[in-house]
Amino acid sequence: MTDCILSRRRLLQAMLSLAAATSIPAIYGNDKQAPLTRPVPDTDLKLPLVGLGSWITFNVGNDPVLLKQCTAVMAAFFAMGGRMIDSSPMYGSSQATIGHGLETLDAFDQVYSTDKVWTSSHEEGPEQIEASRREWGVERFDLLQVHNLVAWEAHLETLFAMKEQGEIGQVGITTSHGRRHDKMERIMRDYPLDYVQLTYNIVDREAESRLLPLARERGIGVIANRPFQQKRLIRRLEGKPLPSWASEIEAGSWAQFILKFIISHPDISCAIPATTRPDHVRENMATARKPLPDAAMRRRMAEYVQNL
Amino acid sequence: MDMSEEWTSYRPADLLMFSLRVYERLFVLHNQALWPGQLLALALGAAMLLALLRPTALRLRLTFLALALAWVFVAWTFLWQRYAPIQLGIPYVVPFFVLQALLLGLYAIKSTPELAGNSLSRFIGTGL
Repeated sequence: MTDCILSRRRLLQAMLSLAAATSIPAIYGNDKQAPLTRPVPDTDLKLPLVGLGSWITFNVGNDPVLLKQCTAVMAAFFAMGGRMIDSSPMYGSSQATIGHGLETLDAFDQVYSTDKVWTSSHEEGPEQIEASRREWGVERFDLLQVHNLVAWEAHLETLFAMKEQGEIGQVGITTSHGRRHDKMERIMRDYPLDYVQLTYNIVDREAESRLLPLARERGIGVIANRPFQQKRLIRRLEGKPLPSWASEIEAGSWAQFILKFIISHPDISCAIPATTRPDHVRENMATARKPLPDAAMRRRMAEYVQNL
Repeated sequence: MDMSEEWTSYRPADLLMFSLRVYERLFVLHNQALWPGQLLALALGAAMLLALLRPTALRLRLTFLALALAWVFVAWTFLWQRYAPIQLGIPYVVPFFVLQALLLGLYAIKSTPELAGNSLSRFIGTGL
């Protein structure tokens, strides 16, 4: 019986990998080329500039069709060299979906597991982290963050103790929608964080003034969430012409244009777009390749979008 | 930005945890799993309507009990088993469904149900 299960799993893995690797149009670039990386603070590890978010997209409950679809997204992500997948106990069944995908694809060695603790109770923190770990099926989380700064002081104490014990890899804090940057700045100054996660994209650039320079100064990695403002930014730009000079940075779509802008900022470690479609994940991953825009091109890109 | 300002700065779409497709699939899967139970539910509904149009104490008691079971059934099979995994607020809603079922059940068992009003208002109420 065990052999039967394993062989079915292997077959599915092979089918998903084949599906992920075939028929790759120009917009996805050359999938054989490894994605560009940036170092993980305090380690020898380097991670691709594009990761995978799971807010909404992976919250599919126990629907077998949608679970399969999410697994196909993960298969495409890993096939393109992806590593960081981000989730949270706040994201409904997303953690279980990721766990399902990792088991189906046997991709535990490929994933850089990034999750969060999200509870106002200090005491519930470790219990919630353990429940999340079981959902993912990983031995330990590579990065664990305090979600939205909820009960951050107490949780950071827990997370630093867990890191000390080797129960998690790195420690971080998160915010989104440009909120609580003042508090985040204070915590970045006072605590030895490895990562912060915040909203950064071509129209949400508040982080550029203080948080990103501070992250560089303190050696803190930065994960950019809401790269497309949960699709709103893409919808706003859809139907408007992509500038002809976008080809200079090999951006073939608005999604690639926006992602190239984000990950070309030298202080951004990784952007984490979420999607339900394998072709979109390939399109996103393809941006983590040269050429990336330089400072002058970034200014031009931001001005162009601002003037649309 | 204080906490109240922070909450009002969220758009309704920011608080949605799942996509429209997932929500639609929830109903599709639920109905597929129940089939052909929907026919039984329709028959029960028709029987309850008849009981309300020609009420006796026993018929009303059975109607209240059937409604209590329906509230528990929806709470368990749809809210708890299907909806709760994708919507974190649902576990807080389920107890209210159970409470409603308990109240309906208690009313059926502990009292002698009767319908007030004349036949016209009863007819309109049943129609509603």
